[in-house]
Amino acid sequence: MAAMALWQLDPSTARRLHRDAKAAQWGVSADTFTRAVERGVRHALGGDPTDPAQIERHLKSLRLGDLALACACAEGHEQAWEHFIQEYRPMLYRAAAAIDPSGGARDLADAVYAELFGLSQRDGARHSHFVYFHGRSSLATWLRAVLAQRHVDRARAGRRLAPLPEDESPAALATSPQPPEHARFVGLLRTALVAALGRLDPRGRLRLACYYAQGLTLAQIGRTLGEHEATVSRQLARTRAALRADVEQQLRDSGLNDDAIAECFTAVAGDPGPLDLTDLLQPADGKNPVGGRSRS
Amino acid sequence: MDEQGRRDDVIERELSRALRARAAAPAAGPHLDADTAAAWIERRLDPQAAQSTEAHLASCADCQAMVATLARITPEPEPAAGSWWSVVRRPWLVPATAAAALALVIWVSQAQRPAPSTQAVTTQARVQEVEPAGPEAQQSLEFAAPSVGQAAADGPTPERQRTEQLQKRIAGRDQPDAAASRSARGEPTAPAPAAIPAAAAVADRADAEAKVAATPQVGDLRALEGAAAARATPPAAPAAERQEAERQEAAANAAPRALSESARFSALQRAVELHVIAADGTGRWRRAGTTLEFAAGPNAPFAAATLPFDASMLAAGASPGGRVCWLVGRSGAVLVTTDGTRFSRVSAPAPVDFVSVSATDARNATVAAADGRRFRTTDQGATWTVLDR
Repeated sequence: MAAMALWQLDPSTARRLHRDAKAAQWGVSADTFTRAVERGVRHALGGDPTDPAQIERHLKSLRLGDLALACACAEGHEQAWEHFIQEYRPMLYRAAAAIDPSGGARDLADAVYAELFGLSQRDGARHSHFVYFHGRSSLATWLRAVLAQRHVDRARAGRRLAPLPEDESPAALATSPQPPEHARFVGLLRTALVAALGRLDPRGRLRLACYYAQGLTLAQIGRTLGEHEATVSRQLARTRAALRADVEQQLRDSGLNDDAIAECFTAVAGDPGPLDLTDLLQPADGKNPVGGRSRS
Repeated sequence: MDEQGRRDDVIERELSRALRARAAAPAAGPHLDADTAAAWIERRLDPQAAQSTEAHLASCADCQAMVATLARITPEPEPAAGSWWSVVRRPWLVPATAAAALALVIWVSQAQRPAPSTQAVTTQARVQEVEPAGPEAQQSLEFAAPSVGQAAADGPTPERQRTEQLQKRIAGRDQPDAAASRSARGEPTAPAPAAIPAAAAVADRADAEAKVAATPQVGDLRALEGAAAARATPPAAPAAERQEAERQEAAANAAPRALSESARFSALQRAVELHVIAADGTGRWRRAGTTLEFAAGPNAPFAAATLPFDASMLAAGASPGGRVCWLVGRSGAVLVTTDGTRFSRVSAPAPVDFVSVSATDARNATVAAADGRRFRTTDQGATWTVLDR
């Protein structure tokens, strides 16, 4: 069976993009740059994009200058590397210092730098991590994202090896004395809360997660979501109120009267147990919107 | 706490606990790559891709953690330079705009007068008459406007009364205006506003005017001199000296178009009292007639300081703190002291009249000439650099 032809950039557009990117100043050939753009289009829009308007929008949004620099660095262009070291390496170290002011993340920055330089080899050729930069964002933001990714990976790997805290272990929970109705009320309320969370729109859930799970400030959440700080605060308050109303309604629907609902809240307020809700925050339809892309 | 508040607290605590537990749980499946996450946070994805990315982020604790880390390590963006709101919010803009508007009003009112002969002189004379006598009163009114109430009682014309009121308002706004002017030029401002004498403020405005129009306009000069005159505190000067000043003013007004830079400097110098206060408040200098006096503290008595020439040559001074004080004046006069009392003349960058000075210490100072040029020294006047206009 013949292999399906990959989408290709038309020559005139390729020449224009190469010129607009000033890729020649780094010694990046038109072919190399075109391949990088095509790789980016296929990555963002799928292997064989058919909508010309969508492709045009994508091409217009590219940071061509940064992409040209990344191409040159991936090819080992000396001047491009000098420029990158001068302009971006300090930023990378500053980002590492922001992650861990004590210097604990410095080695992460060094590791990212080594990956960019291409210390690893694939099929006998030097493999630079720059090939994963497709120009959809600024090079600086992409570098920070790579660093953040490495940091999260390392933190998660560290947590897997750590034992559960004593007071939250299942054994400890099992020995906690509880009143007869306590477990039922706690279960009812927490189930209702999970259901209420599942009914929130993705942005609402993401806002809650940024605030309660990730501990971002309102300003940081605002910058992340493109909202004003005051809007974030207001929306969080509204979501909390909506969740409480939803939980109360669900408890009422399950046959509890007002006194029993009040007891539910009292029971949960006095319950120290942890919550293991693996289904929490999963989208209602269960689909993964990102598809099968692996992290790079 | 009421029942609703208690329930809100329960929900909030459960949310926190639940979401943290979810974040700590092992995450499986595909994740956002750095390219997509970076493009999403820069809002460069098309709406459909942004929506699907957001939906994934809402359910994937790993990717939430990555985006949260990215948010933490991304520096806050600078406010847009061209944003009109950021310009409006600049604190100096309101007083600067008000002062500029008032200057314009004065200029218009002066320019519309049919005969610009002696009226300004008369106005100044009246203002001088209502000045309080005595050095302490002078000191307290260093930047204050003269009272026009008494002048009004003498029966000024409505036009003159309006002019005097405008002059009074200008005098009250001079300080922030001058600071704003320096700040706008990127020039280092003197550490304490009080250390900038009124002459410097007037000179700055003259400097700004000179930049707007290469040829000095009669109305501009008159407005500036009128503003300076309104702040004059000359009662300590002898009557003969005052009469001489009035005579010179009248001569200047009789041929306003021929008013030279030197004459303008002279007019400004006479009109403005010289009083310098150190940024840290430890030293004060003031001109008393032809001498300069120094006080080593807020309540210390004034004593004569040593100058290489007559204090009437001086136009402005600045003290960055302690006993250091820079003075500038006519004919290339640039002086500095480090002990408060003994002033030494340093080599001037040009043999011109200087109208303002700012300094950060005994070695670093910037002086402005009456012709609009500015010079900076970093070695106590041994060498000077011309600053861009």
